[in-house]
Amino acid sequence: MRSALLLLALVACGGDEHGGTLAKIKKRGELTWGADLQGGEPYLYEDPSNPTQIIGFEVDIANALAHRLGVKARMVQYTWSNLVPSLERGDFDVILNGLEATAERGERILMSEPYFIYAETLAVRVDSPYRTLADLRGKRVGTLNQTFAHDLLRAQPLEVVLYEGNEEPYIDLEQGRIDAVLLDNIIADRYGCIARRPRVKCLPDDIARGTYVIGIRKADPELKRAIDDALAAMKKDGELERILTKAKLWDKRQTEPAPKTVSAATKYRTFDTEMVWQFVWAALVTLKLSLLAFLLAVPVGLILAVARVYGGPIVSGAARVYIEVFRGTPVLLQLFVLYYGLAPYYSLGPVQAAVLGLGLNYGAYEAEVYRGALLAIPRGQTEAAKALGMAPSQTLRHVLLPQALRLALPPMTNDFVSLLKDSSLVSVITVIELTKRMTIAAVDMRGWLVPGLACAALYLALSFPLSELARRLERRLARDQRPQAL
Amino acid sequence: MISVRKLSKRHGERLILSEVSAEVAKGETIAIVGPSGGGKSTLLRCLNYLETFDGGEVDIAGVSLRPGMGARHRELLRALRVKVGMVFQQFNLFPHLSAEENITLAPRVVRKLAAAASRKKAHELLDRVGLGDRAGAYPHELSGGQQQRVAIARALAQEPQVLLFDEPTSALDPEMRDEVMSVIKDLAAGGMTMLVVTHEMQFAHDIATRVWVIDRGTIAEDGPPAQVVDAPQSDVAREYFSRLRRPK
Repeated sequence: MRSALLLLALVACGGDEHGGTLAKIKKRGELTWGADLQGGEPYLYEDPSNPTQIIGFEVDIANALAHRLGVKARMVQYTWSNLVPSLERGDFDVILNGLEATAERGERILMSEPYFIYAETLAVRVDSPYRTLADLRGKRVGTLNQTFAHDLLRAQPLEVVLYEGNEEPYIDLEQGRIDAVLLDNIIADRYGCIARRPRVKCLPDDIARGTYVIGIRKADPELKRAIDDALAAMKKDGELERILTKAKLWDKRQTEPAPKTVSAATKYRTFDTEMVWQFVWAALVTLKLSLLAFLLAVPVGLILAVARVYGGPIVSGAARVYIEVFRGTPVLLQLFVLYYGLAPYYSLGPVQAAVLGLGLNYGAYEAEVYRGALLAIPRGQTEAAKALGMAPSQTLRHVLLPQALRLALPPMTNDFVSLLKDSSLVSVITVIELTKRMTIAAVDMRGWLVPGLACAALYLALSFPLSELARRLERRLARDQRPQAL
Repeated sequence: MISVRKLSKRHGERLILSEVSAEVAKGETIAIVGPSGGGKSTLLRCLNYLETFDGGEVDIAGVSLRPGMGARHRELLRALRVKVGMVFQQFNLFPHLSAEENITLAPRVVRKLAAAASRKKAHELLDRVGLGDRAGAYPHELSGGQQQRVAIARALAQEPQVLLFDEPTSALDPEMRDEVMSVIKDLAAGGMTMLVVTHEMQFAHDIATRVWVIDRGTIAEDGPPAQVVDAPQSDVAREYFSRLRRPK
């Protein structure tokens, strides 16, 4: 797999033998650097006073480097976790975005000399007794995926909770959903231990130190040399200090010797028995979430559909507003609001929030399915029930809903299979389900193919028996609805 | 049993029923005939308040109906509908329930009859309409005539004092009409008070105690079949009956 990626990289940069990337950069007068705007302040971010302008200390470093190479710098936006494969594919010249120097990265790409020395800072709640990683045995500790902190935590006997954004781990720490956060001091100083979070404190001792480096393709040693020379010059003439000071990042660590490139001591994993069990477990999480969410969506949908069809103007209007809001906004957003937005008022667990979020969202879709089914029932059914003296609630329960559910069964099956896959969105609120397990495995194995196929096979293994079950149920229930031959 | 006084109903500008007045005694079987669009079904459906009306009043099975009865009268109307059963042209059986379940549903949920008692009653009624062996059959497994007989049994299960039939045989093939008609005939013989909207002249002639000819929202003629069918007085009745006889 790795050699395949390298081969891909070589193919993509077919011109490298003739002078390499450095020559191309000089020729086109432009250094392209890959980074993710989501990293936010202080790395790179939209200027609050002029949002079309991107600023940040990494922008300054990129410009300074480019200037010293005699070219201009251009930022290329990529998702942070995909920066390394994208570099290898040749989508840009270098990575300049909080890339931590680790031994594993050193095997895969070239790393420049460091431009910043950071510390891994442990944040805990003010009233908690934890002082070191060892104190946190068996506890839940949050960090960002694919970071040095993640590697450090994985070597410890504790539960790692993975996040995608800088704010979220500290929100969960405040809420007591996790017991500590390990992240580098840039993030900790700006998002964790701030006046806005009086219940969070950062421990003074550095848990570890590391460096930010610029990532360069293996095939470009001459580019690495040029960048290292430029960085050395920037350190010598004080430009780097000016840039870091401007970003309020200059500290005494920068003048101390850089830590040696660390090895997080994690080996590439293979698709072994342990990983198979992790996949099966994740598939069960996906199934559990989907089933619970659907069990919520069906009654929510039924109530909404009945309100829409039989309610007065206020009731049916309210149901319509619900449906439009939940259908018309992304479920990802709804999950964020439920889990993080509501956190200061009511703290839901990740699984609770996931089930609630997916259930309420799918309820809106189910409502429209049931509404259509209710409208498809002949009027004579309601009339017959009325003429027998049945009350509206009795008519609904014994006559209309059983028939509506029969009509709704095929679209409901459809929705459930769709929910099974949408449940992967809940990884944004730290639930590790099948898709998240796959992405973690892909990183650990340095390859997407095997985990991807395993993940696909498990999704199919979940959805196929369910559609088969629904098909049988449909045949049994809808005896009078079998189609006539055309 | 039934007293209708100056019953009026309009649909926008159009007058559907115009000050209809009539009396029905206990045990009578009224055949309601007349040209299409004359207001026969509407009159019938006003009697159990499946349709509202705009003027007049109806006393039926001890319940007094007036215009504009709404949500506040829901319980009264439900009690009325238990006493006044209805059989529809399209049968309207519940397709997800077996014949037996169709019959037991309303007694169980409306009158809170015990399951065993309602089942026993259902089997008696199915026997009575000649379908004792089809209790477990679903509507789609039954012929039209059989479905209509189950529908009659379903209406009877509420032990109504009055039965309303809205063209009970119009959706049926001729050979199936007879089986339904003979059930209605048996009911008439048993003393059930019935109003039957129909185009079956034989039925109107042989079974009805009285025949109403309804045209343009009024009862144009009201009398025993020997008089109304055999010697109609009004132009509309004469024309209607002659048109019915002509094809035969």
